[in-house]
Amino acid sequence: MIDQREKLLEIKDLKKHFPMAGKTVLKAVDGITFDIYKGETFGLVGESGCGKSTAGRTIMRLYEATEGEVDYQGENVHGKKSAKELKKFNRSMQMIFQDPYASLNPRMTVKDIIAEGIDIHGLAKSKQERLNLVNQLLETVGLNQEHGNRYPHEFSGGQRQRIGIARALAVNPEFIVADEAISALDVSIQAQVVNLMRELQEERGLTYLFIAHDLSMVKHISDRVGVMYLGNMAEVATSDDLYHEPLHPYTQALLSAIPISDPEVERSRERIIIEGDVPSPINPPSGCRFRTRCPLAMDVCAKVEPEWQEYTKDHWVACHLYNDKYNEEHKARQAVKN
Amino acid sequence: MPQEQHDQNVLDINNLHTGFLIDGELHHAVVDVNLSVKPKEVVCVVGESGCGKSVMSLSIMNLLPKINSKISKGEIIFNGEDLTQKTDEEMNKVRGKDISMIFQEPMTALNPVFTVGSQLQEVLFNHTDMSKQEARERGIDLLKQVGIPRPEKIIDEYPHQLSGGMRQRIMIAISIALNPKLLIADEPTTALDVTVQAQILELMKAIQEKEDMAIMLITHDLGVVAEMADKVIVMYAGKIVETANVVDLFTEPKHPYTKSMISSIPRMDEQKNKLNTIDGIVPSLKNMPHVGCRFADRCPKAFDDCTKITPQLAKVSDDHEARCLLYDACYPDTSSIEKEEVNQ
Repeated sequence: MIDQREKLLEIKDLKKHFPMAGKTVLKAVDGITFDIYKGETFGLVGESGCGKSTAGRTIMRLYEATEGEVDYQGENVHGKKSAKELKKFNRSMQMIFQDPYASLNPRMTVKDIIAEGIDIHGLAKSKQERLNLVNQLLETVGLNQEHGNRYPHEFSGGQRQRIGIARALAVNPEFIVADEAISALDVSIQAQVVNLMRELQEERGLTYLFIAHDLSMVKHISDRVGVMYLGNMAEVATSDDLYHEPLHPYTQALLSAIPISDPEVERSRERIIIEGDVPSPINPPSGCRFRTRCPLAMDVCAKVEPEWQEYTKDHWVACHLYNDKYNEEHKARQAVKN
Repeated sequence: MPQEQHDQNVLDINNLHTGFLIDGELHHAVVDVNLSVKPKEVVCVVGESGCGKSVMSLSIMNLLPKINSKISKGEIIFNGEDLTQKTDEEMNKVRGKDISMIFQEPMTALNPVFTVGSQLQEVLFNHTDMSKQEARERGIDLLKQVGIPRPEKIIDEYPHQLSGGMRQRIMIAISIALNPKLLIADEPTTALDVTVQAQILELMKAIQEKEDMAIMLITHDLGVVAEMADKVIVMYAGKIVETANVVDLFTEPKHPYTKSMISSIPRMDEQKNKLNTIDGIVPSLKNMPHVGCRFADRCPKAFDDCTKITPQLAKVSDDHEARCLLYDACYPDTSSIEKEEVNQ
């Protein structure tokens, strides 16, 4: 069953480096590899500065990739493309942004904001058809038709995010990148937007890349989750596996850091608190990038970059603890402990 | 007996009303807030944006802009004195010494053109007559206490050289410099990553236990509440809708708003298909209903009385207060008589 899933996107060793002042280079995304299947929600989590937003934008070709490939239904998104070919990609991939205040043009009516994609791609043959499409979209996201004539400032954050969703849906995309789409909203409004996104996914068979730092919300909405740290992918697994059997020490620490809204559970569990902050991506640590904060770091971690491997079925990890060549040290330490 | 208990509280807020002038009219952002904080207690104030939780905390510190806002009613008793009656000069002696505050944005709360050390020493110079050398030593000591590595170096650095978590640690160091009785923390970890949030919360707990200080923690994150709080105060549209100890609040929430809020967040240890939602949004200050419950138009359990009768905050079980007409005790005195008459 699982093997019959159709790959919508294959991300292969994708890199995005930004040149900085002097000769330094900021390696925001430094070689990530994973697949996104058709109809699933792939959650991408990590702390600020881990490169998750850059990854999302590079996948959509809002940034040119420095190296690597993004294959969308077998065809590379990057590389030389005619304007016509690009347009085709742009129509099938859309984005919902974090800040519903900054991502809507304040001088355009909601109607024109939503119809922009329809106009660019020539999806409506007449003014009437354009209006009908917009009205349908407004209804789909739970707004009224009369809202179309208003301006963004007249709406609340949650309503604006609905407008952003309507705009993304306007060109009938297959794949939507939601970059922290609910982070700026209050909890009760977050739930509204998340439920709406789920309903739309069921109705239209959409595929989502859901980027967020809120791991509990990501776990709720995603089928599979990828955890990023400092430009690298630390772990990819189904959201259940990731929660119940996290392999990477960083994932374990991240899960343990999230407060659970139940005082009895919260106060009885043991937490792993990792020290310090994320190092700078301009000069990342050698070997495994997490080693400077990792409670289980071994000597080899500073020397060799861990390999990205499928440790168990559908569960990928980059950590020497799961490599027989290197984990002797760890085993020995465990033996001493016991 | 009750009087005696009253005296022991660090902070007592009675019937507080704070309003803002909008188009020449006073609109209240905080209405009828009554609460108390006992020594060493951690009180969490939760609610969504616009519920008045920050306005309330700024009222305590008397930090709201005088030009367009006003505490129109009520008293804030701290150390036996009413803070609302104090002049700015008198408040300066309280702020930073007996009550201190940390803010959400450690970026903007620290002055970028002064070193960490000079901002730490400012509070010491203002309230004590320490010498420069003493203040520096105390500063280094404080930085050590909040877990800053290489404090002798960091004390001469500028805020932009430090990460968000480190800046929040500096803010905490400044706020505990004079062993205040009460620390008000307004969303102290909202701008931080979860792993750093865990560090900061741990630090706050450790300091609170060591220094015997009470904390009023303002947050929208129920996970943080579950971790930190002894007592929880839930606010909605400027009013307290529920208060309870932390375990009761999560196991037996009484107010429909609290219930909806708890069920609208996904939990890591649970699998849910659909999240509960609260329809609509918080009414704006200008459109606040004058009569009836302020949550009525979003409430799944609303009935006729909810738009006609304004509920009062009342005890619904031991140590647990709510403001909802589902509980008879919350009918205001006069209309409860009317209601009985109707029933008869």
